[in-house]
Amino acid sequence: MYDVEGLEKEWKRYKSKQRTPWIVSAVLIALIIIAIVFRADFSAILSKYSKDNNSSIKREKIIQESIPLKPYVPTMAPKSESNHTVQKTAPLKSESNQTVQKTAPLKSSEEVNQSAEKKKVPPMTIEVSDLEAEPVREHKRKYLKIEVTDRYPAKKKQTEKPKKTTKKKKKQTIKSVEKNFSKSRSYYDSLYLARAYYKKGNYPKAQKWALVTNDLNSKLEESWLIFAKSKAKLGERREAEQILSAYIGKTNSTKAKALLRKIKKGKF
Amino acid sequence: MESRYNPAKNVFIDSIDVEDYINLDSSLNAYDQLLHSIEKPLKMILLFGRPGTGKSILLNHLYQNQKEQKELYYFETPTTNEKEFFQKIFKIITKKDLPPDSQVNFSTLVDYCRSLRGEREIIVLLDEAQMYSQEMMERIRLLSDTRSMKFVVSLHKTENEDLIAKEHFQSRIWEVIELKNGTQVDIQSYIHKKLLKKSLFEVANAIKGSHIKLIHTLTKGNYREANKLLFTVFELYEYYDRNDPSKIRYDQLSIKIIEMAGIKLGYIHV
Repeated sequence: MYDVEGLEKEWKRYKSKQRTPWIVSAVLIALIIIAIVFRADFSAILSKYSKDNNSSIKREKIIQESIPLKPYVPTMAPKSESNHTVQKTAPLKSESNQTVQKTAPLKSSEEVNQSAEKKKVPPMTIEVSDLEAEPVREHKRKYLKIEVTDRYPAKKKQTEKPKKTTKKKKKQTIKSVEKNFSKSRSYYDSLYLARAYYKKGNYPKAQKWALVTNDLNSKLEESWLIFAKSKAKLGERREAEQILSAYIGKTNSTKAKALLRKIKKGKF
Repeated sequence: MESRYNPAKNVFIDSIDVEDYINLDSSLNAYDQLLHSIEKPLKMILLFGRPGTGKSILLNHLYQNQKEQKELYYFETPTTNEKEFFQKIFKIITKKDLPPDSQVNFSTLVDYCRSLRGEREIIVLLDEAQMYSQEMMERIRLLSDTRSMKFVVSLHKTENEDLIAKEHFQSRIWEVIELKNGTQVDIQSYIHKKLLKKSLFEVANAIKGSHIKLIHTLTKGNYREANKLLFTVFELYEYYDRNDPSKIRYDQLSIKIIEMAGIKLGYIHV
């Protein structure tokens, strides 16, 4: 009689050998199907991931751009320069401080859906354009060059130009931005104009540009605030309160709440 | 106590016993062809095919069926000794034994056969003809030329033997009947008919289409190999029936056991 147990062992070995290619091919087919089915999702995740990376890089850039403002001032006003120029640069410091103060609470209190917009509206733009009296985007570029200027004195001279800014130049900037807006229809420009007019005390125009900005991008908190502030300044406190409470109802913004409190108390 | 699988096992013992002959469509066709050929005034008929295709059993079947009607002689075992072979031929022609210490004179034998032309028609069935030497085959041909003797030569079809067939037989004007391996349907009816002949209905019913397919694949449709495989299968069943009956089902043959038999016989290489 045969060695049946041995034969059974051989049969098991044969079966496992016979099944191996099937298992391997089944696994491969399954992997291919998974890859085909989820390819779209993978690409979506990848693109999202890359977007996140880009946005975080952008955020880092903004922070980097805003931080060097303080150390930058001494380079713009070298020791050898006269006291006059130093005095001129002094407001620069204060201005830059102002912008930092303005932007700091924004970063802490803004909601997630507004953060993207913030990135696109760097606080730098006002500051730099004020200094250089040139259109916003160009200044932005120039500022990026400024970071490299430590090594290139020739470019330092270019940055020194804004020290001689005058009110005339500011007007020119506003005009040029207005002109540029008619072509670009960019809310960067309209927001800049709203801010600039508000600072100048031209509240009707500030109100107008805040509305334009709001039309273009209703998520920009600053446009709401400038609009409400301008209304309040023009004596239309009730309307300002209505606008702010509507905005608070929508976004629960702490900044808007603070402003509403101020207006209600009559401190604004 | 005898296992229920013992009779089934014995069904597949390889034999050329005419009782075990199974009428299949293909074998019936070959038989009719062979019968028709021996009716014709042909000198030699070649039955050709691979080992295990049923040549011997077909010759035996022909012999058993026709021995009363015709002068038929069946040489089951080949005689490699020329002297012995012609002594046999002498005996069937003269119906007398050759005196001791005497030899057959071949030319005298041929002359005698020639004298019998028209009177007698002797048919000799030569199985395993590939074992005969070339010289002997030439002498057989000369005897068949006398027209009083007819030879049915059964020959294995292997590569070398194929050459012999071409050289010694196919140059002559002979009838050639080729037997081939069975199809799946042939193997199925062969197995079922064999089992039913012995009234093993339950076992026959337990063999399904998938089992036949596997058996056909393993044996390549060769009847002898199918006999060997099924003999081993039922031997394994006999073992399980006695020692481990929980491992087998009586209503259905196990693919595993067929494969085990295939491994045992070397049809499957692990």
